[in-house]
Amino acid sequence: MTQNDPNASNKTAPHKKARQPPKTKTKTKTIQDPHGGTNDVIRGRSHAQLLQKRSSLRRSLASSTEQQRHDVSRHLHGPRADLAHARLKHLKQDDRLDGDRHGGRRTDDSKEATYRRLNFQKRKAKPNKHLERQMARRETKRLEHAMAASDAQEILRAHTAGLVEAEHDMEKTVQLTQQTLKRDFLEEVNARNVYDLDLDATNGPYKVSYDRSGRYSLLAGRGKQGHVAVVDQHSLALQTEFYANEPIRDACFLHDGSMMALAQERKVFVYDQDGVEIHRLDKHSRVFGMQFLPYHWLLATIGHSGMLQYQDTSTGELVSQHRSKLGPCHVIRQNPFNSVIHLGHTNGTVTLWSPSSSEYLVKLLCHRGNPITSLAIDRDGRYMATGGGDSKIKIWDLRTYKELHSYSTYGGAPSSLDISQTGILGAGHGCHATFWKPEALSRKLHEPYMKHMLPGKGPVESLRFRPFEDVCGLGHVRGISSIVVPGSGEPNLDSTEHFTNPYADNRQRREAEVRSLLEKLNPDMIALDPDVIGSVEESNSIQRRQRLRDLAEEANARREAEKEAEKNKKEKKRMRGRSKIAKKLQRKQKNIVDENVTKLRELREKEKAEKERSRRMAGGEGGGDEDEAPAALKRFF
Amino acid sequence: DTQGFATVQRTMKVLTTGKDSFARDEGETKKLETTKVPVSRVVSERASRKVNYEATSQDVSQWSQSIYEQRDAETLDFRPNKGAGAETRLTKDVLVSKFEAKTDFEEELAKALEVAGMKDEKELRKREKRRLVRNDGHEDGADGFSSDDGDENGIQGEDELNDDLGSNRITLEEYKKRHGELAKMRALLFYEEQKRHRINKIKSKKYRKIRKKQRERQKEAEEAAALAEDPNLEREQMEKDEMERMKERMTLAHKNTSKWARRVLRRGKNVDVEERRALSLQLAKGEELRRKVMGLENGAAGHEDSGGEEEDLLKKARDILMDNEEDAGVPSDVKSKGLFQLEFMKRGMDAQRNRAKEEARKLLEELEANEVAAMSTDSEGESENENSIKSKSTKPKVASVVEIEKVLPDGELVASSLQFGKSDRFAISINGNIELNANAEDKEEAIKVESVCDNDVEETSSFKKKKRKKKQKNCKSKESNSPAAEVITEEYEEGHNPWIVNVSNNTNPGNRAPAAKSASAKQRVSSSWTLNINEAASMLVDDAETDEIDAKRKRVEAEVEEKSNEESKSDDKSNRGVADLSQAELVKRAFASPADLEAEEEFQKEKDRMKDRDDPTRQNKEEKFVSGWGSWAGAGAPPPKKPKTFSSKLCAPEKKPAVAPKRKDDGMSTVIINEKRLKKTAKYQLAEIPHPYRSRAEYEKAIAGNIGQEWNTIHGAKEMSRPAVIVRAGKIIKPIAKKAKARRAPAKF
Repeated sequence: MTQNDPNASNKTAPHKKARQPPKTKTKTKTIQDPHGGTNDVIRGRSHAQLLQKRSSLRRSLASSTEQQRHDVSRHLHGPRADLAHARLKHLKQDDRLDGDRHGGRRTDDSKEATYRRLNFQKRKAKPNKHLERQMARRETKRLEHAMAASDAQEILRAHTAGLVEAEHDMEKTVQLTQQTLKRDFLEEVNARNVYDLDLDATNGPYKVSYDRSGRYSLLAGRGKQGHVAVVDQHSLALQTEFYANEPIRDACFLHDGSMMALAQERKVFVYDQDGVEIHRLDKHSRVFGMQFLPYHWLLATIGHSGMLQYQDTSTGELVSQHRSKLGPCHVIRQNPFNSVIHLGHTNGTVTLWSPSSSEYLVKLLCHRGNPITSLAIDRDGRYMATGGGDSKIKIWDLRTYKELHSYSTYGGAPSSLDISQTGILGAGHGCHATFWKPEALSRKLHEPYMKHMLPGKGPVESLRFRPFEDVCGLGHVRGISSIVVPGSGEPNLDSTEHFTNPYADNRQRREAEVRSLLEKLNPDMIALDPDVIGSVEESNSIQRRQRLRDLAEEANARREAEKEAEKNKKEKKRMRGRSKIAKKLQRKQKNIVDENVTKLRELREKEKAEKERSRRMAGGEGGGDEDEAPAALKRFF
Repeated sequence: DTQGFATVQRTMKVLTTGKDSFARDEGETKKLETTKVPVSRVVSERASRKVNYEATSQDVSQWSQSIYEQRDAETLDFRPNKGAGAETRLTKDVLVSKFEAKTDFEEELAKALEVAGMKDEKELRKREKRRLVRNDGHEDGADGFSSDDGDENGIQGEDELNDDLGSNRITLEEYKKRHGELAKMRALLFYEEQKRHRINKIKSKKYRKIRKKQRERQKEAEEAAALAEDPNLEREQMEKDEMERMKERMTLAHKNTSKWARRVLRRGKNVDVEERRALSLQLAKGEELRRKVMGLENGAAGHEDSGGEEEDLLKKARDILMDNEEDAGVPSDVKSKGLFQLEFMKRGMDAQRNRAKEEARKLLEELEANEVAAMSTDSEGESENENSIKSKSTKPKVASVVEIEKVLPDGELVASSLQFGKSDRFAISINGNIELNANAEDKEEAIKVESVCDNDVEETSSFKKKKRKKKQKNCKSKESNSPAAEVITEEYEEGHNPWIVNVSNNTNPGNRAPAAKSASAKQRVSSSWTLNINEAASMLVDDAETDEIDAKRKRVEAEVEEKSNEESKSDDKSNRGVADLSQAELVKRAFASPADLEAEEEFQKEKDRMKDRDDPTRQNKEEKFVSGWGSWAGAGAPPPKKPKTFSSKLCAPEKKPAVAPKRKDDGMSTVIINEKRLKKTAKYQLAEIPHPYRSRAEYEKAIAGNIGQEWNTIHGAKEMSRPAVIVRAGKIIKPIAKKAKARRAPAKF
């Protein structure tokens, strides 16, 4: 291309007109290029279709019932939609803080940090259409499938939990005794769950616990003989029974009914289903209470020393141990929602622990100056009930850590508390067991749901609801009482949850074991808010500071380690001559004798002989030699 | 510089030719200008680059549309024969369209089908149509001309026989009619179902109560009608009632003699509302049953119940008061002769008569009060129901009201007591006080009519029973007779009689708020009884709490509580600030043990320590100068140095005092939330917001939700985890085709 005017060389006007694609009458036109490429590989809906779908979904959701909306939200945000919303709000606050930080003083001035900061600012400055579209698609898909899943759930959820209701004003559910319940209302299958197991009083107050499926119950006496029994709740047959010859402080099943841990006088022991001792956990001494965390395969124990210890039951290693610094502790309970351990102390405080922190996560002053006697947390991790020496049951909101209300008990302090799968609060106090409706957690009720009395059987040592059944087990001095509390068990099984199938056969159990081990969570993932895993770290000034300090510490440690390694590095041995490695290798090769080597040797010998002869010949010419001379002439030498 | 070079060249030429520039002619100059110096390489290359760039960018932009499309696509699927572009895939339709009869069997079959007219879809449709048309023709024939029936039927019959479903036998009209009927039926059923559903859904107690009343009334009416028709039924009914009565007597369920009732009575005012209500219901039931039996025995109408009996009594009493000798227990002929003429007998008779009169007066008074009380309780019970029900139920009482009006000089008492019945005990004491006072006096006068009669003989045992029962109700009416202060004293006394409290407190929730209000109003009037009223009010308020909390009610409660606080604290005026605290707070304060305080204090200390540890501004706060440090020690040492103080000029400008960061547990006195960063958990967290996202919330939104099989339907899980690109190994992927940018169609005007 040439320019006529040299002055105008810098401002060349492009020939736009000529280059523009021809105007098309149709909206789009596919031009097949010479290679024959096509665009028909696109699958799925277009963006416009997605938007349309989303709006229609939203409309249908708005017109659906409250229950349906609740279900959908449960699918979208999990069981704790409230937590998710609070979290989002919190994150937005963090984002704002982040913006301030970038505008104001910087904490990190390294090159990398500066680059990251500038990059982020650039990212924030301009809209990202592609990302927005992606987000919209994701949102639509999620909503669509959440609705589909909630519809599917309608079919799967075959049973509904129901409480006993009074027919008229005269009737009270509290007045309903187990006898009348058994006689008039229960079917035979359920009626057999109402029984009293009278055991020897010297074997002392009994602890009851159930495995996760509710199939097996474990009874452990605190008497000197250390009576332990496992009962199959389906056939009501004794599975195992033995005497440990030591008082048993606490007992619990491990991942399923085939293994159990007993906190005996000195140590913790693990037994199998036949009562054979498998392990002795030496590090756990004088344990008073235990909890098994099923998703992390951890056994948490606390005892006389006030040391909270986490033992991994799959690998056998002690994961972590934390000093509570609050003396002997009897009350330990896990939060089923986030696997955080709650400890109730004698000074009326409750502390929350995770294996990843050597300090408590939260400390609550629950019962001023009165020891905590019992603790229970509901399945969604929303409410905590604490029983204190002041004969009060206090209900706490675990999100705000505020006391909601309290109930008073008579006949003694609440010695054992439990919240069933459906949220029924059971309290054992003195020789009474009182049950409150699920609403009792959220608001104060004036009348309990049910009552049961164990006259002359002393204080209720342990009260535990049986999972997936409307049954509650009460352990006391005289043995075990099993009662029926209608509506206390979750009516629908979740087949994706391991070890919760009460009808599982051996093969299923084994498979569940393997799967559960594969899906085992790391103990460090335990945090107050389980959604924290995989998210961006918090950004308040305290956290940021600590993060920087931790990073610096880490880097320093790394450098230290490197230095140390440098110092400890051994001087490499360097040999010369014969001992050189190459030589050594050569020598090794020498001893190998094969065809080629023999040939070579022969050849070499031949050559040698030739050389010798020629030398002799030369010498013979000179001086004469016997060897060189022909045989006929040899006699002349 | 090229231009400069050109000029130099030019001058050189001039010099070499030896010609002056002024003297040169046109031809020469032209010749000189023809060879133009080309632009320098750099410049020309730059220009060409630019043009080339634009051209290529134009070229490339032809792909932009398809690139955008692919980028926004959910999935790119490069597998062959999949998805939208799978025309070549083998499906049933493709196979059918390509089918050709080749073998003998196939050919035979095809022929047979062709003969039957079922070769393909089109043929089939044609055949169907033909048949339909024929059918219609037949219908017309049947309607119009019966003569044609014969041969038409002959043809048709064959067809009908062939038809398995027999759909041909129904005419179109018939079909329409039937369809219409069915639709109507279905609509009606649906309507009924909806109605039922709606009614079943209504959960309110009030609605149920009204419904129940309605049902009862309906049943009664039906029964009455049945009775009118069949006299035998009456006997049956009577027997049934008798049986019920017997049963009731056997069980004694509806008396307060049962164990449960006695226990409730013993517990007195501590009984909660539900139980009280249950007891009153039970008694009412018992009363009703008894009344039924009695009514039938007397031969009076069913609902005339105790009114008739009471009327008799009233009449008798009035007769006695009017000194009607005829109706007295001793006949006149007996009176005039023999023993009765003796002086002492006469005196005795007089005395007896006086006594009887006095008793009659009392009785009258009581009965009237009864009347009033019955009215009030009835109206109380009905007040929440519809007006029609109320008017109906009060109807039978009208007669007795008239009676009372006859006896009493004015009917104001009745009116006021009716009002009393509607609202609460407290309400009446306010509303009707003054009138009542006046009334009471009037009544006293009215009753003071002298008459003597022997009444003892007349009093039947059944009446005695009644009297006992009624006594409880009387208490209420007595209140209405006495002045306000008396009402309250009675109330106070009632505290010992739990049943009375039960009656008085057995009010519907709707009336509670005004009751509490009036209580507070009352407090202003008579301070001596405030405690009692407060107690009652608090009881009421307690009840109210069980119902849904009304803001208004709450206010009243607060008011009452505050007042009670003031009352209790009025003796020590010095401690005025404490009065602001709530009752619970006061109790807590009063009974706080040293251990509690210690625990709290310790907790607070720990919290402060924790706060201090996490506070980044802590170092600024700390005193940097430590006395003694950096100075000599020991005997004879100079005194320790004082901290250096610089003049304001030399001092660094003072920084803004750093504010301690906000903590999560700020403002929560019983909570410590550890703000320590969990290093181990941080492993599973991101330090910065990852690339395409611009805020935490956005990122969180993107990763939120579960995509696994455990939480979704199978289809859902598949969809959500579908890869962005699907391709089979070894597949050659063709380059993207050009696609022009979508243009908007020109606007139409």
